[in-house]
Amino acid sequence: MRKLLRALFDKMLASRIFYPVKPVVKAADDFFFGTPRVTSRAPHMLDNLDIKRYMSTVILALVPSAAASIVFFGWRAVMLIVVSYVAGGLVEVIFAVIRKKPVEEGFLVTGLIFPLILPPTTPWWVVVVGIVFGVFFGKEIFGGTGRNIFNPALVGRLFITIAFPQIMSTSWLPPFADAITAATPLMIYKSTHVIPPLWNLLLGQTAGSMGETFRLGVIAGGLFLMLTRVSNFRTVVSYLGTVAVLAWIGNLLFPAQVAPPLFQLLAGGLLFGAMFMATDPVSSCYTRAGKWAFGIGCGFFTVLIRSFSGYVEGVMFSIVFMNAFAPLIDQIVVRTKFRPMLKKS
Amino acid sequence: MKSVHLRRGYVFSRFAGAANIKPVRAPLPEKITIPLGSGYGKESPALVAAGEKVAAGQIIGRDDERIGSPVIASAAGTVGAVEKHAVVIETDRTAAPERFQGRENWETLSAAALGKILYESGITALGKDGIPSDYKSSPLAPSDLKHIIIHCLEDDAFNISWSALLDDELIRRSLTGVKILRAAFPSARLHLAVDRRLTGLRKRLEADGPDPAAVPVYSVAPKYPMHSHEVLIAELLGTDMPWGFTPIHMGIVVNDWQLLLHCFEAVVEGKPLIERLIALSGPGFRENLHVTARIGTPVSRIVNEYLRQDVTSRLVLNSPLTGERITDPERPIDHTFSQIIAIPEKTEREFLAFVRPGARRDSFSHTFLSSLLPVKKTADTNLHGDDRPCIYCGYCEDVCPVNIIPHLIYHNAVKINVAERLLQLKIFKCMHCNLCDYVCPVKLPLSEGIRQGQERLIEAGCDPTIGLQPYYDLDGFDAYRGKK
Repeated sequence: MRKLLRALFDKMLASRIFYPVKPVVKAADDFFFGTPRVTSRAPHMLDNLDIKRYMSTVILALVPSAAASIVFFGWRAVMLIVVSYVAGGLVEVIFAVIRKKPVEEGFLVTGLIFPLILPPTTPWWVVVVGIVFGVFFGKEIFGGTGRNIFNPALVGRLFITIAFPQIMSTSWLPPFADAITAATPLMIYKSTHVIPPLWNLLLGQTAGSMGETFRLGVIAGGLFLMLTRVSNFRTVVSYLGTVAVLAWIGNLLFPAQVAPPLFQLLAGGLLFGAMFMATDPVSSCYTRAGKWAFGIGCGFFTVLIRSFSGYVEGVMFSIVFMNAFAPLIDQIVVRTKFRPMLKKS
Repeated sequence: MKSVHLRRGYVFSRFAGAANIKPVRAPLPEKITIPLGSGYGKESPALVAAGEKVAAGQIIGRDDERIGSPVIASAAGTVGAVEKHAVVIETDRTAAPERFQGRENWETLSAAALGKILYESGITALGKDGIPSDYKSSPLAPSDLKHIIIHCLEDDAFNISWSALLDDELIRRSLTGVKILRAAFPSARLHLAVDRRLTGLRKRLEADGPDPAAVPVYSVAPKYPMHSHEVLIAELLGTDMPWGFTPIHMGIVVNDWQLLLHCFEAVVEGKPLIERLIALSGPGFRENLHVTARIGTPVSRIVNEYLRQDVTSRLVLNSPLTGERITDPERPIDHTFSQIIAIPEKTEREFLAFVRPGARRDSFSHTFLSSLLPVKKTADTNLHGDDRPCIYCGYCEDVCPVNIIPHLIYHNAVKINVAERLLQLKIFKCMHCNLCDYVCPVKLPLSEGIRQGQERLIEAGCDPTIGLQPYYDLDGFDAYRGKK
């Protein structure tokens, strides 16, 4: 079986018919078979981690969320995930073919995260529009994975939030329910100041985006990512810590606008965003101090938008906003750490 | 005992293939090739001609006017040929084992006399830039030597297993070696850096060792690249080494534990440096053991007997991360050998490599099962992944022992290459421990890129030997560009 597959790939890579789609064949080949190349100079041995395993660890950490979304919302969730993978994958493949560069693995994560941050009853064509926009404008025009400024999934989500406000604000659904639109806990709080039992939030018994409702799974996945060193604890701790502290202070000063800290932490997409999206290594800061600053900035804008703006949820806006500032923060950190050379005078 | 713990760096733990058997003696080959430039220093002219009979331990090459140390015949026999860079000796395998004149009363000898013994035994050629003596064995005079650092560390993926080797007898010998070094270099302060896990040695040093006020002993956490002289000097003495400097510029000699044993043999037993203790490590060997081999023995005569036949292995000298590859199996053993590592070449394309649990795979991240299980890990030369653009995961920064940002310097050196920016990012702090290359998940050649950047800067007029840190004089650059 393995030999057959190997022979098939060798044939396809050698044949002329498949030449135009060579990046795709190459990607499939690399997916099934590891590299034959060996080190040419010191160091003679290398770490076993590669980008495929790095990204599949993220997918593994997303499994609880994805499974919960399928349990809660049924085949609809499966359909949205498949649609997202197919539409986004097509953009990725087209670009790989045009650029004659290998298909990059970062898409595997984007394609799964994107449907998980959507309301459950989002029509499939909105998903297509969102993921295509996100992958195209969020990633490919910058040069692909590793060079994007913004998190592609968030760019797509942001675009459809603004383009289809009607759909994106009324498609919420409580778990195990069909076609009964409901308000999310943050919406309810904004209008009536009612806080649902926190256990319901943790176990996902409230309305919300598909992947974010089962918060125990999100926390477990996030911890797994931090323990495997794939995501960095600095961003998560500073983001959640800032939200907690600011919500506590804000709740004391403006109890009418700012929700109490524990509810803020558990409501909305904060946990999902902090664990899986703010920690995206490419679009967040790369310096350690920058990671702390990035998290603090995200936390500040999240509380600000949630409490004092027309929107009920601010995680997406704050992360995209801070993505834009990440290079600047890094620059400041690097300049502070490594002082510019002075002329001898 | 002072405890030393490197903040960054990486712990290579539980690699299969550590050499763990007491040393065996490699058989004496029919022909040994003794390089005229062995260890530190210039090549010495040969004092013997073809056909001459030599005894083991006889000096066959010496030039006291140039920097270097004498060349010693490592076995008795007849000189077969005097080549351009080496003397070939056809060994006399019927001769009785050589006896050397021991010195019972070495403690009465003066520092100069001890220095002479060390020089004539060839020991002064050891180390990165030799050991000072009155005979130009090193750029430094013995009286200018300030510190001697002797380390006994197992911080690399493969090491000489001192934990298996150091029994009571060897510890006794090394303690005598400490005394000899102190007597030979009265002006220098001796520092002993001992691996934290070598409890036996540390206890003996506390009980019977020298006065800790005069000879400080450090208990060192085994974090790579602790054994490199840049890190040792920074951590133990607290002084930074400017780039381009070697320890000898600062009056420091850094050497490993074998120096003490060689000193004991030379001074007390009268046996010159004719043998080296070599560890055969790595999964490419059938049996991992320590071999005592005569200097000049071809590598193939040592390793062939123990190499695995079912895999092709790459032979690497001294360190899997920084060592050079031994391409010529006939290369003779010289003073610089302390370990030969055989890493299996893995060119086979592994099926679904990235989803395997990986109970025996090492990784800086904890994404493999090996971080949970106490199982021995394997090593091979495969890249384990495809080249991709940098994803800014920050692993290289997390492990960098000199606290720079490797990926940033790499991008600046390879793509942008602005001299001021590179100098600002402290490119010359990199000492090429290659740890960033090791941990990189997208397999960037970071260390190589930084090396290119350094070389280009030197070409552009930066003088590497004056130490560019902390501030670089930009006037030089303006002049170079023709502004002044």
